[in-house]
Amino acid sequence: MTFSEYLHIEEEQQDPCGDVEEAALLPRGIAGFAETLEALDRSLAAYPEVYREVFEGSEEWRSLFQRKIVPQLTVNGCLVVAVAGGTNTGKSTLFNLLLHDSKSAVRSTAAATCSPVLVTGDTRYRDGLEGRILPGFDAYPLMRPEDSTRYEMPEDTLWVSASPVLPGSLVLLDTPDVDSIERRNWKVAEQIRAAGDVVVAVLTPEKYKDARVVEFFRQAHASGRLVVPVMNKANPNNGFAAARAQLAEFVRDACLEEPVCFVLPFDYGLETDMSREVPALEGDMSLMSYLSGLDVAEIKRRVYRDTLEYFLDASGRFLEGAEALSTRMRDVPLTFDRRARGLVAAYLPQPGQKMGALLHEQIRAQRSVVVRGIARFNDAALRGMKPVGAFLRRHMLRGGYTVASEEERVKALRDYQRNHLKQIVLDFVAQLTEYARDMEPMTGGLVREGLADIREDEVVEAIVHEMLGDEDQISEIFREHMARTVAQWWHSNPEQRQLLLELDALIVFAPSVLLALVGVLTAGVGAPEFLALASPAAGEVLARIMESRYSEQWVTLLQPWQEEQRGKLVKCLVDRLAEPALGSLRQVLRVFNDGPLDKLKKDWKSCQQGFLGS
Amino acid sequence: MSTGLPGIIRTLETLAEYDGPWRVFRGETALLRARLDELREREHRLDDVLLVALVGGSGVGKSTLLNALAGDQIAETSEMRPCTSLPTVYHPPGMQCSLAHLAGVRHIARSALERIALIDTPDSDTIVKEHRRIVEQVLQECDLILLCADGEKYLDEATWSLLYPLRGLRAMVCVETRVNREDTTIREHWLARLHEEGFQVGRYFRVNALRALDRKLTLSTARENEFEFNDLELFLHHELDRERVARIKSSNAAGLLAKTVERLHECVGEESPRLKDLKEALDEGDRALTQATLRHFTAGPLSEAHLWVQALGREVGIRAKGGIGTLYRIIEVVRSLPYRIPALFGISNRPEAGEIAAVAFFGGQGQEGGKTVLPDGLSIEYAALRSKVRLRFIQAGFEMPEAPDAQDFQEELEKRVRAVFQGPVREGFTARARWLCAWPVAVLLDSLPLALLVYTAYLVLNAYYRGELLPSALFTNTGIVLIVLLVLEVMALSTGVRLLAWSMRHRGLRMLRKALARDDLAFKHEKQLLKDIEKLRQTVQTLREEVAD
Repeated sequence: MTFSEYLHIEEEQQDPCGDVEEAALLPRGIAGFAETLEALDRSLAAYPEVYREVFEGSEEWRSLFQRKIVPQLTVNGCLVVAVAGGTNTGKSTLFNLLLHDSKSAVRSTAAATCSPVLVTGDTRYRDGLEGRILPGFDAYPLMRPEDSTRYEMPEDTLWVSASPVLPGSLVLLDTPDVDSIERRNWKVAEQIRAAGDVVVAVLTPEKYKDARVVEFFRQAHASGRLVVPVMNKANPNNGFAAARAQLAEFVRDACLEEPVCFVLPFDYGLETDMSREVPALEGDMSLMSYLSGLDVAEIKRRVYRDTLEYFLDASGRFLEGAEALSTRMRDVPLTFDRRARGLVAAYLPQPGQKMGALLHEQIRAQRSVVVRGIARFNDAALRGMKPVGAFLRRHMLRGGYTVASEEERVKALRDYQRNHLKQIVLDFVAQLTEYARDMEPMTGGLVREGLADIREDEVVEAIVHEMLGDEDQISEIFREHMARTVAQWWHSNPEQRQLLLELDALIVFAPSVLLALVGVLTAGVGAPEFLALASPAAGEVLARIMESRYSEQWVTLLQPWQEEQRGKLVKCLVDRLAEPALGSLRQVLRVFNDGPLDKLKKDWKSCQQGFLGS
Repeated sequence: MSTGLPGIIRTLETLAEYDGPWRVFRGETALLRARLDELREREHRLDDVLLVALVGGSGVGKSTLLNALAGDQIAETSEMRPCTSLPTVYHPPGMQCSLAHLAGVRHIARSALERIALIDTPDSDTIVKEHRRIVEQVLQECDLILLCADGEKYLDEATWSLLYPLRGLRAMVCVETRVNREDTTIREHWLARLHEEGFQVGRYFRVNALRALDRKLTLSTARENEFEFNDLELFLHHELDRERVARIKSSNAAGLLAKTVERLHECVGEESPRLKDLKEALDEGDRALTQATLRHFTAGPLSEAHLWVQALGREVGIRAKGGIGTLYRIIEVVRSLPYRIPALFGISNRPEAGEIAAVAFFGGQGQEGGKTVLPDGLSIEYAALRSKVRLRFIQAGFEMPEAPDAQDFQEELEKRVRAVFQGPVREGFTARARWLCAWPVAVLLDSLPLALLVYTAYLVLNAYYRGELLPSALFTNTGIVLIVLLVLEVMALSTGVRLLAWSMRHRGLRMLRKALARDDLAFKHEKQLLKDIEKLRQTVQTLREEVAD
């Protein structure tokens, strides 16, 4: 289900927020969203790969959200003006020029400023120091201009100073660069951009077309900030003709909407002479007077509205991405299940008993007392003859091989089953490992993590034990199942049952009939010997006939039991291998399915409704 | 170097062709092939011209620098960014240039700089992404990077990110353009940062190319505020002599080679503990299989004593001579009837153990095809062991196809069992049977009943001449004695067969045990894989030593 579909469904349902006043919807949604986002962040922090996948590209709107939308609810802010741009374009120079005072260090080397400097009017200095203007930063009072170049300070350092030049409605921020090899500076600059209302774009003839710089200001504008381009180090020839063309290109590349542009000619003297004003490209307005003249309330409202719109759009995409991710992850357990079934299909469990005799027994159980009595007599005779036969075969008629005893046969069968199970389990682990290896890296990483903790040898032993149980369990399980199935079959197949009964009658009565014949013909001589020999032999022969005649029946008789055993094995594989391997994945899925993600969606929804309503 | 660069390249080529199941190494081959192509190219060009690329951000003055060096407006410059969009190659007349495959390259063949081709590149940092791609291609081809930047752009990530992959692979010279002041803080900061990030910078020049170009265009001789432009020209004209050019080129090639081999070595080295574990797992599987095989054969069907007696009895039956021998033969035929008759009619339904015995002792005579000495129990045990070994291989990063059937194991097993049974065991049986059927034994066995018969005949003849009537008890007694004698002698022969069969069984089983415990019973494919990997590892090791020399 995509996120838009989800919204659709939500709309159809009776929304619990429906009767709440729409004005309250937005703050409530934002507060909820902030809280849940924090919770989601925390729950996913344990899985760095998933975290990366989910929050990839979300830094921008998240910092926007945390630094702009959430604080807006609590602080009645003033206009925050950030001076930003590429390295060594003269941001600090322009900043000082605006304040007519050296507040931030100016260096000829690149990437000098690493911590932002906040300058307020005298009335708001306390607000700035106590973090009410720029929450999330650690504010220190600025002692010397060089403070802003101290790389040893942590990333969230903010230097605060006051200037009498600034009106109460303005605060000014000097920011680090957005394009040097010092990536920490980029991050700080992006946070400042998120917190600002107005961004002064410091450009130079060299840098106005740089990809990083253009992208930075394009996003600033897209997320609702008012961008004011200033062309520094401009060529003053022909009335700034070159600067004019360059600024026009920048405005187009960054998708700005007819901003007021300013211009500063190339002059090393600016670093020390701070009395000058920054003139507009058209007209005789200065940058400072332009900034002071801005309608604070109007700009704030516009910035807030655009920011919110941008945020809703970006976070909506984020939620869709997260939803798609969880759908992809949900498919993994199903694949594992399918693979387990595929492997187990080759498993052919065999009961540890001779099939024919067992079925025979079951049929006998359905017969009358007389038949059962005669049959029991026949069987006893057969059993009595067995050692004689074995002796003959072993010592007189060497059959070319040894007749394995029943115990040996069962043991060999069990060994076979054990090894077959071992093979299936190990092949399954191999398949899981291969699958985890070839899967997309994020899900694969989660599965690999789970797989690494599995001790195959122990699992193999556990599964073999569970499947084969103790010594004789294999035939016991089967016997039980056989009795059930035969009873069922007996009732539902009257014709075949009749045939079986006739065969059984032959087995039971033929020896006795022959005995009677011999008894009459020889007047009793040799009858006991005949009985001893003929009865078991006839029984054996007819049992074999039955076994081969009904071999197809045996297969169908075995099938349900084999299916049951296979099902049991699949369950074993899934419970003992697939589930542990999927442990981390399931936890992540839980986070997605009934954890913060659902709540995030609801909050997003109420944010959107509040936004549309206002 | 014992084999020199061509030798090393040949070795690398064989490594790059690796297409085996070891994923770790196979992942390296694509990179290795790319590096090899470059190495081959570089080896080919070692004596050629030095390709010098002017690289830097937009607007730092690459084209201006080229113009200043050429003393003419050969490359376009402008205030609007980006200006250059296609590379310009400025080289001496008559030089062959290897950049022909780059589309749109402009060639200007009037450089006075011998052995050097200067390449002006587009920018590395504007929103025109295509330019960056072209710069990357030029950087791949060039030998020397003339890194241009000014105070504003020397620390830009966009340019640095292009250079990171080439660390140690290209000679680099820094040119600080648009210099206006004596202040050298930028030079110090730039060099310090380059050093921190592991770049080796050959030379550093601070120039103002615009002034130099103006001077050259106005044909004036007064050098004013051009800073080290003159030094740069001298460097290009004189310092880059043939020897220096060759040295730069071979050092680039050596850097590339060292980096390539080092990477291979690291990749293989990281895996070696896993390979060791794998080897152990394989050995363990091998041992377990040998034990299972021994258990199945020497304690299973082939150890049954009566089978050995039967086999020797058959041999004796064929060769038996004399009266007792014939008697033994008849008994042997009668005794073997029960298992011969079903075989004769093709309805034999023997269990597996019988099959194996038949194949081993009689070479599968009277058997339909497809019969094998591999019991199902052992076959499945082998399958389980094989699955385990396969799992270990997969865990160690190998790509293993589904385990095939036990064909190789079965063949090997059959070969060994047959080698024992058709060879020494058969010979032993024959020798023993010959001994038991030798004339002296036959004569010895026949002599007693014959003597009795002769004695009885003598008694009869004697009585006949004397005209006496012999008592009937004499014939009865003689008959009884003869039967007892025959039974005893047949039993003696039979006991002899039994005793000799026992000794034969003892020897035969010992030989079988020895034959089965020999190495390489199975897992041939897996062992071969490990051997290949080991060879690969050694090749890389040797390569590394050679390159280090």
